[in-house]
Amino acid sequence: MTATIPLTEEALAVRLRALEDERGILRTLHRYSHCMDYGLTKEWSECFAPDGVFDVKDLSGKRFHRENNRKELAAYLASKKVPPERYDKHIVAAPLIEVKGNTATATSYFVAIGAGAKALEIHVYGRYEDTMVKTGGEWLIKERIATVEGRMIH
Amino acid sequence: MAANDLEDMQRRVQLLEDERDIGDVFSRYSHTIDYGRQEEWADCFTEDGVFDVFTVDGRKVHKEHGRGELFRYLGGKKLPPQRYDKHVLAAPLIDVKGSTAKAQSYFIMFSSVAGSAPFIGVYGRYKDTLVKEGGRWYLKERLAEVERTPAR
Amino acid sequence: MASQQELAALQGRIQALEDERDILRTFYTYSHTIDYGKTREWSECFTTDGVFNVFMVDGTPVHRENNRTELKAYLASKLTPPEVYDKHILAAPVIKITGDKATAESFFIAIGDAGDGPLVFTFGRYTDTLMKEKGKWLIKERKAETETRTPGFTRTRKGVKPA
Repeated sequence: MTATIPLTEEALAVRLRALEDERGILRTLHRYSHCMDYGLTKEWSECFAPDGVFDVKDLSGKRFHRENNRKELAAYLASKKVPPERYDKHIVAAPLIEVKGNTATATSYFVAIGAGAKALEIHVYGRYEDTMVKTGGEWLIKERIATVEGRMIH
Repeated sequence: MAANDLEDMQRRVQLLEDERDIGDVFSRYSHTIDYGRQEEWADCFTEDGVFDVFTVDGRKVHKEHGRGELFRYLGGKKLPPQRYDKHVLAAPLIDVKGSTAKAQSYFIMFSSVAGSAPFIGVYGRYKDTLVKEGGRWYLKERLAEVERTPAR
Repeated sequence: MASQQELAALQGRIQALEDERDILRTFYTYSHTIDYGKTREWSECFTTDGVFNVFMVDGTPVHRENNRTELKAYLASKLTPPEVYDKHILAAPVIKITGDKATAESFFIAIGDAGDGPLVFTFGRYTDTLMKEKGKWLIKERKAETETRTPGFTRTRKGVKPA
């Protein structure tokens, strides 16, 4: 125990802030999934910073698509099939978050689950490498690099 | 440092604790349903808790009202070792207001029946109302909207 | 001004939240290091004498490692990127912390691609005991109870005798 060092409100505030930052980042990552999977184009684009980047590549570095700002992001999602036509679930797992002041990095897994012709299947999975930025108290994605590691080929 | 005074920090810690404790309810729910621990599973709900399962196009699947019905519902399900299920809750969005909370999240159930290879059995969305009673969080209502099951 | 007593109470609550976060961080680090073949970093998610005990739900042993050296050798015997890309997902963690010790029960689901698209190749349950050493939470013992596996799906390198 560190009972000999007097506790200060400032020291506790720093620790509390770190917990809150991590929670805020997770919340944005989860909100991203809900907005994307239900076709909430504007809300989804607002999970990103105004100049936020979404860059999706395969393992060889070949790019599937890239969006460079909220307008392009909204247009990208608007081009996708969403409920009630199609129900997908983007899951984020194993998030490793490092916060440095008002920026952060997060490395996590993604798994997208959907309905195939015969079975429910994993359409795609891989890794997200995110750079996050805190703006007006809210954590937003500044850059999301999605590397596809496996996908269903139909 | 007015924003970091004791009372303010206590309130903020409380919020983090509430979210953690609600996350614990979600985890306990999964373990107890997947291993047929009827009493503990029913105990994730309030005494009058509701579990309402329906398809996304509005078809009723089943609905239980109260711990007694919940207990009996789980008693009627196939359990290990006949079948192994894994209810995975993902992307929880929890909003706490005092001693009540709303949560929206995903569920995906992975299954293995009679020794089969693993497969995805169902997925959809939970819409929950929770309440804190005597310092513990309980599900007051869990709406489970089934979005997809395997095509036949 | 807050009294030292009030601050100590608040610190205790913050500490509990930090411990849980740090245990989850160890679990997530475990996933990233096993899935990307980082043998040393993966073994360091365990205590020096950490045990990884994998068995089928009927009790049949699959493999068991008893310290970091054995853990490293185990992971080195497995196919890892760029040959295969797997994802170990941990879900529904129920964590109980008592001072510098903790227990956790959770689900694992492993996803991979054997060449014809992604699939879930196994799932089951982890039962863990953890210890905090020098401020870091480490796995003292992980029991992995495998409930199902896709037949024929293996990640053992060619030429390595399967466990």
